[in-house]
Amino acid sequence: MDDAMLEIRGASVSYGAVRAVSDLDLTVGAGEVVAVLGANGAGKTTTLRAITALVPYAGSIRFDGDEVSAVGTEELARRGLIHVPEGRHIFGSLSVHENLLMGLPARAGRTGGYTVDDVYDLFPPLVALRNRSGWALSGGEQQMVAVGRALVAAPRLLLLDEPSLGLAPIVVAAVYRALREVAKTTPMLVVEQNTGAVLDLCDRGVVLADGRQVVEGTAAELGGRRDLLDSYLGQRVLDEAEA
Amino acid sequence: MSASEPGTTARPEAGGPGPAAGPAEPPRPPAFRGHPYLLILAVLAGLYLVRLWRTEGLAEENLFNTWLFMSCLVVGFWFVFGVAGQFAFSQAAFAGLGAYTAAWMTGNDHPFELAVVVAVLVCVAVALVFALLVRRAEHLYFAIATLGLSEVLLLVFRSWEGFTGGGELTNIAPISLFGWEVSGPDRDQRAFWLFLGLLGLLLALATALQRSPVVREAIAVRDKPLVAASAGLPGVRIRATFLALGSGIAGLTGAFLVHWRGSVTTEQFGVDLGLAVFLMLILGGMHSKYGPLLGAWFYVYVEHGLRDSSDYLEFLEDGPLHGVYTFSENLDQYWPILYGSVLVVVMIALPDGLVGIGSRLAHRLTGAGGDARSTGPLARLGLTGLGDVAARLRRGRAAAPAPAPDRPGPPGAAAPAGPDTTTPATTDTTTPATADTSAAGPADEAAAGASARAEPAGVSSPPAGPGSESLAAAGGPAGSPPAKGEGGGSAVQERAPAPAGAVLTARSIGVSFGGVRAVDAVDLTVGRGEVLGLIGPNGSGKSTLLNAMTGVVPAEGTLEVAGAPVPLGKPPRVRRAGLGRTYQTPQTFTALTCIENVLLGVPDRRRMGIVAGAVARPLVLADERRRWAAAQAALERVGLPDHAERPAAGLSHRDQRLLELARALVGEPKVVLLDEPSAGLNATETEELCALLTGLRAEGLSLLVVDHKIDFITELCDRVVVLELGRVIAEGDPHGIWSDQRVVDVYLGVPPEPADADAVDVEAVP
Amino acid sequence: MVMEVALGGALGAPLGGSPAVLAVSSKFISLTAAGISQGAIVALAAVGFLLVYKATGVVNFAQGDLITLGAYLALWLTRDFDAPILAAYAGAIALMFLIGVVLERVAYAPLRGRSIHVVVIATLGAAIVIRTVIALWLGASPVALDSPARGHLWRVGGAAIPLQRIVIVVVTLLVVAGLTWLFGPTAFGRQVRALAADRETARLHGVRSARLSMVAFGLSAALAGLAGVLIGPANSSFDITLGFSVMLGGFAAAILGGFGSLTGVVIGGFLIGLVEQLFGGYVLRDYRGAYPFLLMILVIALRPQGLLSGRAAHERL
Repeated sequence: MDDAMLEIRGASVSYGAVRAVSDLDLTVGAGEVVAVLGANGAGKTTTLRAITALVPYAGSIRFDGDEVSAVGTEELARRGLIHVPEGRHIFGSLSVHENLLMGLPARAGRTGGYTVDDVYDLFPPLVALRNRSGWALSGGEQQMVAVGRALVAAPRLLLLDEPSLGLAPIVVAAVYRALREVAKTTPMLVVEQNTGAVLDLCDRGVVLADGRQVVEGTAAELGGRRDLLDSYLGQRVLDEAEA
Repeated sequence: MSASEPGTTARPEAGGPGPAAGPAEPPRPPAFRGHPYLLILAVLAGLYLVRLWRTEGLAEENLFNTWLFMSCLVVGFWFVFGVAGQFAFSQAAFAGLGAYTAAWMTGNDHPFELAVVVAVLVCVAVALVFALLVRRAEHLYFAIATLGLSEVLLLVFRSWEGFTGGGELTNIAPISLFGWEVSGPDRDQRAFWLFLGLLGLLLALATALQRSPVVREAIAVRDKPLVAASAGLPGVRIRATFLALGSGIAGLTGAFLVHWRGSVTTEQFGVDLGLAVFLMLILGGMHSKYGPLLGAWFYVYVEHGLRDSSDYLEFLEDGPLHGVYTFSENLDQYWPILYGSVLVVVMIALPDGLVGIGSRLAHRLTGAGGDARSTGPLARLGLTGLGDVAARLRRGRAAAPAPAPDRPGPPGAAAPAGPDTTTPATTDTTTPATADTSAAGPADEAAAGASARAEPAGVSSPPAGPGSESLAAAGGPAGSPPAKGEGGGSAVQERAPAPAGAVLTARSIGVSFGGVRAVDAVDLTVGRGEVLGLIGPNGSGKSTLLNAMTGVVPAEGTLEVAGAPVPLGKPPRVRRAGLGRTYQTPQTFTALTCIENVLLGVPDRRRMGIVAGAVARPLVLADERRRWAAAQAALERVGLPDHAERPAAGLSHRDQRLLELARALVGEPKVVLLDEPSAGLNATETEELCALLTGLRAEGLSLLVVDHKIDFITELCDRVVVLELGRVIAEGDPHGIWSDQRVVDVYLGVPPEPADADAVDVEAVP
Repeated sequence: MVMEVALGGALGAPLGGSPAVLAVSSKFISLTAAGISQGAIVALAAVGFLLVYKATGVVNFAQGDLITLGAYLALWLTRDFDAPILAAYAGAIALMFLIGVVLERVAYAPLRGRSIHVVVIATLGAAIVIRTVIALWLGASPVALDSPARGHLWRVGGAAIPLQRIVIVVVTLLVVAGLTWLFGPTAFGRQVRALAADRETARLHGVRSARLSMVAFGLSAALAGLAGVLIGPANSSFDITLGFSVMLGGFAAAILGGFGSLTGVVIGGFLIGLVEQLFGGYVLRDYRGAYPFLLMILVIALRPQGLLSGRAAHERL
């Protein structure tokens, strides 16, 4: 793919003796939405952290053709690589509105995309919470703020780490409805355990297990959900339960 | 504890009535082997020779004595900061308190011996009261509080005429110990013997305590206070004890100082000396009891050397710096610049001080990959600080084995690391460090930062991170998932009856982080000998529930262990009631050996204090042998029989998990809570773990297991509870539960409902 | 080294070691005035290190010596360059900004991510270096700094209050108001608070953490400079220990206020000044310098989260 915005070639990440990601290849092209699926501990979060240069890696990860470790976390964000971390990480001491405004430093002069008002339109419940402190929000509200904050930065590529984590289904539905809207204009790399939700969103997906890519395919191909469940829940799954 | 069944792993009986296993006396714990005191004697003899060789004239002798005196003062501070990690600026002020107290006593015609005793007691008493007052203060608060205490004491010295004569005292009687006076023509000779003896005694005390349980517990409380509390250690008492010990030593040295010098002023004990004490310890190396000697040498002799270096500076002034700069007449004025800069440089480049350089050299020379703490000739001489140093070196470099668990879905609980974890990495202590240092610059820094702040996250810091393990409040009834107990027939519906004789009963446990209801009115029971599985997707509140029950996050609800109510929020109480635990990211104390890690969990707390450790050595030895045997048995029980004296720092992921389990087991728990014990283990290791846990159940132990691996849960558990959004949504037989549609749904995620435009209104979204 | 200069010394004396018998009310008024002005000084010192603390999580123990340095820089500018006094103040404050930036680069940036102990010790080292450099450069003997308000008194109800103290109170309130605004609705304040709340996530949103922490150190040092040029003239003379005891009072004020809130620290500062002057004016005068610290230890013992704050202030500790 020539127009790849993000290009990962043979990337590995180790924590001490533990190898969290092994020899991963992955590209995300302009206008594409890619899902990364896998069990707890398969290396999904680590992959995203390596992409935004939060952890050292071996191999090559390029954004816009530049090696991300050389660009650095803060500059990557200003170039439009926006990472919504797992667990949202809302700024607890800032209000909802201020959290949304925190998208502005990374916007760095880019025009277009969502304004803060657009975000309130996308997530109407946030209007009433405008002045509430971040730490007083529920998980669903936090997720809306986190996604909204990222959108205000006018992302050129959006990295989302488990946007459904710990959310009630109805909230997941709301978040994903917004994400489908966003996906019309913004490429994304979404790490997710919630297969059902993310396969509706993405164009294609890869499945990680033990830090390696084990399955790759279009959203439709990955639709057969049984083997995905296998990859989530352990090594040899469900034979008894199905019997 | 029930006896082991014949079928299970043969092991020496640990907790039985007899203290020792079998007729043969167990080996001496390593802390009681070897001859560390010989090294102290050698050091003292060396000091004596140096003095014979180098020291001539009154000024030199005086300087040498000052060095020894400062060393004594700093050894006291080593207990406070080096061992117990307490950021105290009060060491100098306590020296002053001891000095004025003793001077007041001798001024009122009390004998010097009594004066010294009273001075020490006063310091100990003030330190204890202070430590109890500020017991809840950590880090900065404690540091600032000790600064305040110093100011108060200095003010008292200046202002209390009747006690201190307004701060300036002269003509103080000379030191007189049982008729032996430090006065007359060979006054400096005698002072030398006095301070040499004092230093020897203090080093011997340090050694004795290092060889008793108290130092190991202080290190544990210093490094991971929450984990230590969960292992049952009384943190406040340990910290107070060490502050009192160090302050008592300060008082002792202060009392000797004034009677040696014959006069005293308040300024001697000001903040400058407080900072100097810090400098000396840090420069010398805060992880070795010999560090103070080196640091004090630098402090005393380099200042003096500067004073003597005027020739060189004149050369500079006439030469390269001519017309540019003229040095001050009093060259010692430059001294604080030097030591202030040294302080900064040491912090940046040399976190283990001069001793650290020495130990690195020693490691290189001996080629010892292993840790000198417990093996090798150095250890036998009592150079136990070296082990700490090596461990610190490894820890200091980025984040060796503990990955950033700050974000859940922990990459470290991640990835069974294939071949890496199957080979015990214990013989190799250098690899992780080198691997880390080779990593790229800025990213490396990021990793270090992440791991630094991640440390407490392993035990979940409540207000700071609603992110970790947070979930939707599932507030109004509108949006909530199927309420528990109703709906959806299937295997799950036939709830396994709560077993009779529940060991653990938790009712209405609830935890909130800010606006997030992480655990919502959860009821749980674990029966005797039962293994209860607790499953649920990421962020469903499993770890938070464990943290709530063990008291490390604030929670509401009630808890009963074996029928007796246990208050929430008090980790040591929970532990004593019989609730052991392990952590999602293994929490081991890397500055200690494996068996020391396990020993922390031993419930027998007889003679654990400083006094027993210093005085009642034979009794402590007997206690330690018993504890050691129990700990060794626990290690054997989890399959680490040969790991006792290995440093915990180099352990593989699997072995860290087993070590944690051993620490939990040695406390003779009634029920153990295991947080993702199989995370990071490969298939073989997981099966071994399963067999081990099954064996424990057969011995009558109850388990509550949080995990994600279905095989593991199915094979191990008697009953499974499914948590979602902080609530129990299903419960039942481990074989049947996987066919429950709700369980499949929560794991895979329910596909989003077809969107009618405004399904999400303010009410529906909690 | 003499530590009694600022807190208890020149400022503390409730105006009049004069043998004249003061009326009860005028004693009370002058004590109160002394307490308020001392509280303002303490608060001014404290907001300086709170600024760095809020931005980086570091407590800069060199702050007191930066205050001293500010006073000496102004002195140097007036003495060696014959600068007009207000220009000397401005020059000193500007120089202090640069010194703060240098301090960040030299003593703090290399230690980012290390344990809090390590960073604190490094700032202590910096404090010692700063103090000694001053002593070598401008001498350790007591000096006096001029001020336009010097020598003017304001008489109220029988008490005479030096104008300098009123200036200090006014400037402190202005500074606190300014900082409250800076940390409030401005982009700078938002980014600093975000950085303090969650450093990594802030960086993920393009906050330039290194630049912000340099600016924070610079501003904090400039505030120290401001404190120096105000506190210096309030003493008949001062020496290189000027800032240290003021800073100790600032720490106590910060703890009383809950460490983190600007309003809290100002109230804490006034509380300390009033307790020391009013309480100390009537009971055990010789020991009144100890009252702030005894109060602080009491607060740590009974209410470690601070007298005023709920949860927010304790977030970082």
